[in-house]
Amino acid sequence: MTEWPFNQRVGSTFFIDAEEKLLEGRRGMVLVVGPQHPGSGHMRLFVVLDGDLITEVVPDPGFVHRGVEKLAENRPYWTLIPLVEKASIMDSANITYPVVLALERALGLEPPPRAKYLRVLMAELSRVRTHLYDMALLGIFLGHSTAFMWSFAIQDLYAEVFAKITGARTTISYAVPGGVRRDIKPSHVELVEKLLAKTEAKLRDFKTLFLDNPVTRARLEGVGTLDAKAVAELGVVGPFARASGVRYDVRKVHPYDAYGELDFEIAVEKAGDAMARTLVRWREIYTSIDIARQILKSLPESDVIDQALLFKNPEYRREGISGVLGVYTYIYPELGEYHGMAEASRGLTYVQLFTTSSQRLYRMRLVTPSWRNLRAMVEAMRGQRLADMPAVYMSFGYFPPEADR
Amino acid sequence: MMPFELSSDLVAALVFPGVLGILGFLVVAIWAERKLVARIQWRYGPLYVSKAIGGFLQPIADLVKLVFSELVLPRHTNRALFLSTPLALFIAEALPVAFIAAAPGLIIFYNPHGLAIAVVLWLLVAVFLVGMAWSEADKFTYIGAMREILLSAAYEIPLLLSLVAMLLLYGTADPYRVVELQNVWGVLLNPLAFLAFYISLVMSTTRFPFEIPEAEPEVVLGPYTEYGSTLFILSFGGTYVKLYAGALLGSVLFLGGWQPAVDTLSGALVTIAKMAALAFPLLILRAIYPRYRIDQALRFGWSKLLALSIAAVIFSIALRFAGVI
Amino acid sequence: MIAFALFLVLLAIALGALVLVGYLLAPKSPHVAKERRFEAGNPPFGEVKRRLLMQYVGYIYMVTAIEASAGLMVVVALWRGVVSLDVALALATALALIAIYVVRYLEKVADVKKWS
Repeated sequence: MTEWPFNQRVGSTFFIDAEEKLLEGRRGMVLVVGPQHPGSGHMRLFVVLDGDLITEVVPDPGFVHRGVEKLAENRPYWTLIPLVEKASIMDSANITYPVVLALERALGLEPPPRAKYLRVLMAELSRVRTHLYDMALLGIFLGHSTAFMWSFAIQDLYAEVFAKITGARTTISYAVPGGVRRDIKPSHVELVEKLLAKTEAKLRDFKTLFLDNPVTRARLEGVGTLDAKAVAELGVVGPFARASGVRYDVRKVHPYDAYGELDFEIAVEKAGDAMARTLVRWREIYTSIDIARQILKSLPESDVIDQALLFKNPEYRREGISGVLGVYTYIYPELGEYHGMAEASRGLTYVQLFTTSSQRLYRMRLVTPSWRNLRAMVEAMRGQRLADMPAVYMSFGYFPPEADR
Repeated sequence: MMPFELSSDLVAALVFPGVLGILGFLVVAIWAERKLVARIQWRYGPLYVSKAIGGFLQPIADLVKLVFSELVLPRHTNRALFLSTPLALFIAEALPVAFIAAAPGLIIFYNPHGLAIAVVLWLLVAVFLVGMAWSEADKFTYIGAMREILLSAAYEIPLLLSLVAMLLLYGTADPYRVVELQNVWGVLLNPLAFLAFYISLVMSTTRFPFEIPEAEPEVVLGPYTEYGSTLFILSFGGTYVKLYAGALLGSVLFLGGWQPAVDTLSGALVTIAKMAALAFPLLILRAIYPRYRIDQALRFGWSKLLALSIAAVIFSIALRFAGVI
Repeated sequence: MIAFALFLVLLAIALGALVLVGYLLAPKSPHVAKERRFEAGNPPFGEVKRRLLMQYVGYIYMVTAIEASAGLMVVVALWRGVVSLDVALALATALALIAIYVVRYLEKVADVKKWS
């Protein structure tokens, strides 16, 4: 018999406050959900239960904290992209977008129009994929394993297409300062078109079986309702704010890259419950498919990298980025403070860069949507039943690595 | 022929519907469930073990694997109870089988009120399950136990009323007489009772959408959380035994038992086919529905399901007075 | 009777043997962490037996009231094997009472706020 190997000092992962302290005089019991729990993800929730009702939820995130902000202080700026995208691997095209935008401002680079369109294309495909991923987890949290399997099956097609276009299935690092890493080939255009058609065809069945399922509706409707005021006060972002009727989408409000030239409507729901949060994302999948189609139709012909990056060798244009990455070592950012903002799948992502005169940053601030939504998620769980906890959890698409960074 | 006739109850105890039938059903049902659900979910299901026969031996491989995993008896529990309650639960779930005839002569324990006894024993299973959950003594098993009690509160009345409806029609609970009386199958005589019975069966075997006591993202595995190794097989495999008993009872009460066969062997085969017809839709439900909340299940049980079963009893009375049976 | 005893004994032996074989064959490396209560990866904490789903106790009460009458109905159905008018009337009255009782109180029972 060996002893319990973990220390339980204050501040250690294995230290938990006494139940009485968590209860704060309330009656009931504290259920510890996570980290080794099928319904917690990489986090821990202290759920104060009064019978079947949740009176309080104390989240304990940070189990997958990687220290992205700290790591960013000590490395050259062009390695920020693969660093940041690990926070939200499914959403890698979107989560790195603000970093790229901020770096472009710092470096004074301007991507050519074709690159702008291609970035948006990948961002939207990535959005579809992330929404499907979240839909899958919502399904399995409600006990619907078919929704899980189908979503993951469709989602895997995106991984395959990403691999063909960018060379990586998940962490694609597609957008780089001043352009994109690889140009898209005509065969790829065809591939993406096929992918979109396939997605639409499969999603019809998915809707019948999962979203229109009476049991799913019973589980999601009227659960974890937040009104527009609460959403605004809690600082909710993305589809979860739009589900409560807050019409805010960075793609519309501060259009970046090609979004200003594209014609699309943002999905807004009024109800503010778990079903609305799911439906907004469901409708966004179709919006994204529509945007992707528009891009494929009106893809401008031009370089995919800024001219400024070709001074070493104009052939880099054709070879793609492998040479250009070397060129970054010759470019220095302007000293100052830059920011980038983009609408990731789960909401607004904000990056603030404090550059030095060297190629290393003084500081990077990264605000991710899951972190912003955590408070609201916990608020929405309060007063619901224990069985609603996973439903509310995944209706916010909460992704612990993204929140913990 | 004579010695065989005499020992046909022994055959029933050993082969079908007894021990071998129960254990065989476990293998077939688990395999079939995984295969059918996989087919719906764009997957193949188990194929690693015995690829030639569609991975049929996978449940056996899982069994062997679980036998070779460490048997952990937690310290905080009453270890004797922790060890014995899964066994008791498994046997309790198999008990109703003893009172139902699977074919002429193929009954383990004949009693003129056999079917009523079987239903009552079936309802008693929840007692053992809750006892097991309490002896495990952890938060998730307690919540699971509570949910099990509440779920049985939702289906017990409709189940009993659907039984009443059928017993009113047959006028007896004799396992042989009930089958002999079904010139027209019970499901055609009183479809309402069948529906109430079938939904109660879904609830009592905690299949989706009523898989509430062991809801994974909420209470891990509910009453089965603390178990591993062979004890996990006994406790969790028990739900399939319950399904077996329920399907046997359903086929005798509603699907005319072994009719149209008359002898023991073909009667048993007919019963097996009918049991499969009753059990397989329950296995596929997992791929179609998510799970309800406990309050929704309770509400459903006490509103629609109860109304259905009351209507079934009234319908039966009306049928008797109309002289249909 | 012999068959019934055999059925029970055989089932018990088969299941017991399974557990015993597992106990004898499986490796054993006991550890404090393994033998503790499952608490989602945390050291056991807090009390277990506290207010458990009391909000739904109304349903339990309804079951205790109605299940007995349902049991009576089973007895009545098996009693003589024929449904005479008095039996039918008694059954119908009982069912009507149950229906009225449930319709009257279901909303109250289902209202969680009232029970917490």
